[in-house]
Amino acid sequence: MKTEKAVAISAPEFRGVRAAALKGFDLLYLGDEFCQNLLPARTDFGAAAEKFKGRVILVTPLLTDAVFDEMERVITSFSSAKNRLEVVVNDLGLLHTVKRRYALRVNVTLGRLFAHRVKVMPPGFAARFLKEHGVKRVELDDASLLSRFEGIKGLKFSFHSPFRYLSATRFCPWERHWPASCALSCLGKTQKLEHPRLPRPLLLKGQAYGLRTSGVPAHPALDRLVKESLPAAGRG
Amino acid sequence: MLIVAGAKTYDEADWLLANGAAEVYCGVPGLPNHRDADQCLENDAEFLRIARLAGARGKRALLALNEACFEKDYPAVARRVRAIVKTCGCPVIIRELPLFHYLYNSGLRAEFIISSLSLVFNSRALDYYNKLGVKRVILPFHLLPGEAGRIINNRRGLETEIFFHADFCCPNMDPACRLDGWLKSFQVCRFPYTCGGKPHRMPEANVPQKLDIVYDSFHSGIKYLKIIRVTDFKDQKEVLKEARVMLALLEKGVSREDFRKLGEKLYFSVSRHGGRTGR
Repeated sequence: MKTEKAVAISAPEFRGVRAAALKGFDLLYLGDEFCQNLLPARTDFGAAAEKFKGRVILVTPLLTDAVFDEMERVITSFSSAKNRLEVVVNDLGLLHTVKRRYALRVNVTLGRLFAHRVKVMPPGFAARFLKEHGVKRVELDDASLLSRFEGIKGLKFSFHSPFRYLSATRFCPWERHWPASCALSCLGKTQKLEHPRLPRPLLLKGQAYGLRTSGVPAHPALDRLVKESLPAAGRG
Repeated sequence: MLIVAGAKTYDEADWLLANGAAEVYCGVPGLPNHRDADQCLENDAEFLRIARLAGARGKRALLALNEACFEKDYPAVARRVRAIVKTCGCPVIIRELPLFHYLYNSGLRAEFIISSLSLVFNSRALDYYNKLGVKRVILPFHLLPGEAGRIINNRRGLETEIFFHADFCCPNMDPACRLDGWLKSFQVCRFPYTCGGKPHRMPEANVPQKLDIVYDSFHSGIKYLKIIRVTDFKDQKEVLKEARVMLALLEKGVSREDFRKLGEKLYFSVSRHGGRTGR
């Protein structure tokens, strides 16, 4: 089985990315799972579809109504029954909307935030819930979660590295305000937080705190690796 | 706005209802809720006493069912919740989708309130809950009133509730934060970290930012203001007083600027805010 290689880039980062940085990847994950200020507008998505030779996947976090409509416009503009768009979903409202309105033109992938909600569901309920919502793939960054999902028939897995998320915030840690205004201060930066009780440092990347991942697990249904940028840590 | 306050005992509920709370919410051991057993009532009977007390005063008690539990426990949980609701008709604060579906499919018809931990961030998420008898939605901690207009003014007539941010607001998003579980510790988010060799705290809203949320909550049409269960009830009494004075100011039509000034004094009048300014 061929393992797909994907690169994850936020929309603002993509605007400045060189074509050479995208070489060698089969898929482009455009957007962000933790911050809605890093999502692509239609123009971004269109530019990415032109610039990138492979398939472009829309990546979304928890969504407020302020950006929900634009994400719907991206979906309607770049999907059809013949050319389905893959969307990484972390929000119940989007999951439900895709099921009701776009089931025939969208392939749903469960994002990492949502995966942690589903992992505590009873297996039977989780399987039905994912099937009813057309979820075909789950994004993971923690090998221990594979066992929670592998009993669900037909699911494929993606594995993110080198960043494993542990916590997310909407109070921007870089600019110290709520997300309405944003100067994109997080771009290209990582912070390393240390404390004697931590077995290893916490990393702050965008709106998420997490750890550096340690290796990719082997699993027959894991057929996609997603590379995220993780700049060298500074104080930011 | 009507105040909803968490209570850990009958006596606390009595005091809260007598001092400005329109509703109290409580957890009961064995029924999954977002607090340890020591912050819950003794048993179902104590909840029913509180519900009767509230009812006698024209107020209400809400049952907190805002945590996950094992599937094997669903039948027992459903049996107890059904008995409580049948006896007192209380609303139920619910979080987990599987338990919610189980209760609904097993015939429980209650006024369900969607927990903030369900992370309803947009009005489309309300569609999911459409057929499940939901009457109210509690906004997640990190969703601001200004972002929640379509939820607050929803077409379904659902009521909305928001936490009293001038008392408490996590730096990170509960339940999308797994730091405590990872380290098997408490409030890992508030550790005194170092970053690049310098002291560092995970940022959280400062006092003016918290006061702005209270101001916007009042003016956006949110109906209920929630005060969390606090370990030391003396602290919670102070918080309730703080909230009532703030609401009185807002009802008088105080400007945002004045509310910030007066609110800051009130904020620091609460003992438990003295050591953590959030600045």
